[in-house]
Amino acid sequence: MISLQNVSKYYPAGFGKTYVLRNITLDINEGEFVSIMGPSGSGKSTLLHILGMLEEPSEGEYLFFDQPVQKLSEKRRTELHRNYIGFVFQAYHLIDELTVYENIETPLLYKGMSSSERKSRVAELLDRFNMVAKKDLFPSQLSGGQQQLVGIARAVASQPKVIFADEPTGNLHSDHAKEIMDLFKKLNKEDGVTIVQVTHSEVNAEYGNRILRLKDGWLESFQVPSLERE
Amino acid sequence: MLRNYLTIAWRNILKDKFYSLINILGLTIGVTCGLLLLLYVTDELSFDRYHKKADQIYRIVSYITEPDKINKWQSTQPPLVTSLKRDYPFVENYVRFFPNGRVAFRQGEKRFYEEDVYAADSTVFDVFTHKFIEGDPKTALARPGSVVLTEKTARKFFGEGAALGQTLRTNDTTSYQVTGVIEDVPRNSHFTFNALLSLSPNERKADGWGGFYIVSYLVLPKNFDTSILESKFPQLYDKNMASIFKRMGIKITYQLQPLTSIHLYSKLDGEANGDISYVYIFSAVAFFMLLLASINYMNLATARSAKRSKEVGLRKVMGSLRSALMAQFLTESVLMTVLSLLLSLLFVALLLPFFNSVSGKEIQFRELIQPQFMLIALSIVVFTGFISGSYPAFYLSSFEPATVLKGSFNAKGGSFFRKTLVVVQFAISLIMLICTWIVYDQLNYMRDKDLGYDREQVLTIDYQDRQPRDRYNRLRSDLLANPNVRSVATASSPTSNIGGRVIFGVESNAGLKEMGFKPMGVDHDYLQTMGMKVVAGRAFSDKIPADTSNGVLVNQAAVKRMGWKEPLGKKVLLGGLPQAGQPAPPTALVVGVVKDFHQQSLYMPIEPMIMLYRPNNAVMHIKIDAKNADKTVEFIGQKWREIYPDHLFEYRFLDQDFESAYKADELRGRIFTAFSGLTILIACLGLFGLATFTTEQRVKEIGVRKVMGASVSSVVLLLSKDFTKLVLFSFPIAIPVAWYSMDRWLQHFPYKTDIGVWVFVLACVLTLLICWTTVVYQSIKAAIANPVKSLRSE
Repeated sequence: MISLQNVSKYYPAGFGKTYVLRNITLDINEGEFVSIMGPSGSGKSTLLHILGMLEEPSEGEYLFFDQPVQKLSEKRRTELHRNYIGFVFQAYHLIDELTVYENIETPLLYKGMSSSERKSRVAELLDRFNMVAKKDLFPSQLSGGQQQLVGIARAVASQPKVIFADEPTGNLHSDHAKEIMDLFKKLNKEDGVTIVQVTHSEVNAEYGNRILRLKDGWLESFQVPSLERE
Repeated sequence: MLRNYLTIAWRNILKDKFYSLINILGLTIGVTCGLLLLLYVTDELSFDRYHKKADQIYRIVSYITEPDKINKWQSTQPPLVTSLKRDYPFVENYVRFFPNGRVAFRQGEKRFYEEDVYAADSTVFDVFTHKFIEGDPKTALARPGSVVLTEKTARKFFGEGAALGQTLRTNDTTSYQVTGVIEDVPRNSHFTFNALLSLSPNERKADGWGGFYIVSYLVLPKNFDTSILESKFPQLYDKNMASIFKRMGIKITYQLQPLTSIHLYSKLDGEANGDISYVYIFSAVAFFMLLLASINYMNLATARSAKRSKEVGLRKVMGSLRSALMAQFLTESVLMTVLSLLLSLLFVALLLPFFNSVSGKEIQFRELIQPQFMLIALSIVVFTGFISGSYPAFYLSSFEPATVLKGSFNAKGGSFFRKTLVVVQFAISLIMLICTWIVYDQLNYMRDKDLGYDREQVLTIDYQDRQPRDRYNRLRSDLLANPNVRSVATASSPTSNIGGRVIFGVESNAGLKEMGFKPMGVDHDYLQTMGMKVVAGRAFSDKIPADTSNGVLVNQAAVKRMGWKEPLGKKVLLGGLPQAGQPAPPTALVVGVVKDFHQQSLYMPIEPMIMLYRPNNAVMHIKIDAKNADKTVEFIGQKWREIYPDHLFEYRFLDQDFESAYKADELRGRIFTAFSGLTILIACLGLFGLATFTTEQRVKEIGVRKVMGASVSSVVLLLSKDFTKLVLFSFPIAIPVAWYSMDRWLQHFPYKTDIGVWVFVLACVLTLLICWTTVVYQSIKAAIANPVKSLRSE
């Protein structure tokens, strides 16, 4: 589903350039749950942004469902965002001026879904995430964990093939974190959504079936995860 | 989707009440002023369009070329249009107005003076569209001795009762039967009257080509090429006028003015009407006010972009196209302007009476809610919304999600643009300020200028008829018995408006020549009453009554025009040069030279003039003492009624009469002042918002500086410095523009004030002070805040 060939990312710095990612070659298949780990500044987020098509690689090739991403128009890429990709952020990034309901509804609006379809889809998500009572609250009225639940609900609303999560539990207590990670696991298992997460935590990384380790922009190793955890 | 946008927009307005208030307030002021100016302009453009044949009616005006002067007169000779109608079949119709001036009408015990009474051809209601309340337009003025009244006039005499068939007398021998009552002449007419008489036998017969005193209109076919008719005028001159004017070197031609362009385009001698350039100026002012309000919006929206950046990133991540985001931000700005429009309508309704009194218009609120006007207003407002939203939309939608969602976003971009906009705003404000200032300078200059005579405390009374003048001497001596009446004199016209032009035969350095001079008949008290000075020779005196035919006074302009080295003793023939077979006109000698004085408003240059000695002229001038003026006027009225029990006592003050000439400019000056004040207010609102924002942004920096020992004053200075720089930048832009445009404006005036450097200096200083007052509050607030607070909050 995702295939990177010799992808590098650098920024011009003085007369030379600073590499953030170097020569990454990587394949992610549908249904995988991949964790990206590495120390600060190792390029995790950049890699995730490239995978999520928020940034473009400086070199190399990126195939998403066998389509070369570099060659896509803005419009086509937006299409992919609407229909194939969901994002979850460390800082939740809900739209402060919109209620829980409206936040979840927004991606469906961009997808051009009819009003009745939207209603049932949002209702279903609220139900599934146990947020029905909170649907008219604003993000500022929710706890961090609840906000992140909304964030995930929003990410899965448009039924994406893949969710990119950037330290989704980075701002949460461990109890909440576990809850969120379980949710990801469930989405991966039951709905078959591919998940790529960036994390600092070994524990959270273990939820995935594969861990990519980055150091100074290099992909260090492939680790076959232990599959005992369940 | 639109609902989602509107929800967000609405919640954003509510969330940031301060900024929303500044934006909406600025836009509301801008839109309110825009609407008012639009109403003004619409009104100016609507003149004379209510006539059914508006596009076919032409006024025919005279261009009279003397050897050294071109006169452009509204009036023509009576036979002009009748002969055109007779000779050229394409002339569909004509109408002539013979001015009868102020007429005293009597109906039983009621007697009123009516201003603006004209005698008109019976075709008048066929040419012009006037709505009849009573009577039949077809026959109204057909019979001699008919009068058509306007509603207002009719009410004065007949109250609510029927006026049709009633009789009005003007004197013992003349009466008129009311054959029609029409609605008052609409305000948006270039020409207005209170009553129309049918032509008198003399007017009917008038066929002389020598006198220009009637106003003529023609009806020509639709889309007529007026040059066809204009090409006939030379023939007309040769046939009818050459015999009279050719030997004086006077050429006469005519011009056809389309009815609908008279108000704004016609620039004839002594004509006080609208001016298309003011339509442009006011449109420009309206445009600038909206632009300024838009700039506020742009500035605040981009300055606060950091707050919206996350939303932009998220929406992009969720699959929003950039165009969709731009649409969203435009929706917001349009929503904002539409809100302002609603508020503005309210304000316009409230301000309309005030605006009318300032502008001298009588605009009704219902003119505002006409669908056509609303459509224009709405489109202007939506357009303003688009302009306001365009840059913020463009700028905000450009954010890259990867950058803004990392949280490291810093709204540095757009600051150059913002600064430019502030400079533009203050440049516009400063231009308006300087212009207003100079307009007022000029108006004051005209009001205060030494006219060459003393216009204070002079009453003028116009004898309507010849006959009561016989008793003038009795009245005069009665009045002079009162010590508060200083002096009494008569002249042929009020000193504030000496019109006309008469041909005299005058001794020039190259023999006798015929030339036009402004004539004035005065008695021996006149010069002294008016405080006019004789610079050579002597004034008229009751001891030398022979002056009535032997002596004249001239003004300095006349001496200059004739090139006389020694003006005294020069010959002046009262009338033109002697004609073969006719008795020679009396010859007088110049006995004195009067210092130049202004004969009309300062819009007109001083003209060469000849004063004739005539006792008992039409206009009495009474100079009174400033103290007890009211009582003195009462005394004069009492004496007047004693001597003339049959004549109304109506007087004017000369200085008021004189100043009324500047009313149009003064009204425009007042509008301009109001709007330039508001322009500055809008700019300051924007600056205030921006100052608040930047101060908020620098709270931490200020805290650090204060911890390191910065004083309050140094912090205030630091914060004010940036804005001061922007305002300073606006000076070199504004000054040349203002100077150039005001220099051009002043070209309209023959007597004008000098544009002093100090106007620019003071205007700049004032702008700077206003700017400082605006920002200093925020700066001081930030500077005196306890730094611990701002640093802890991070």
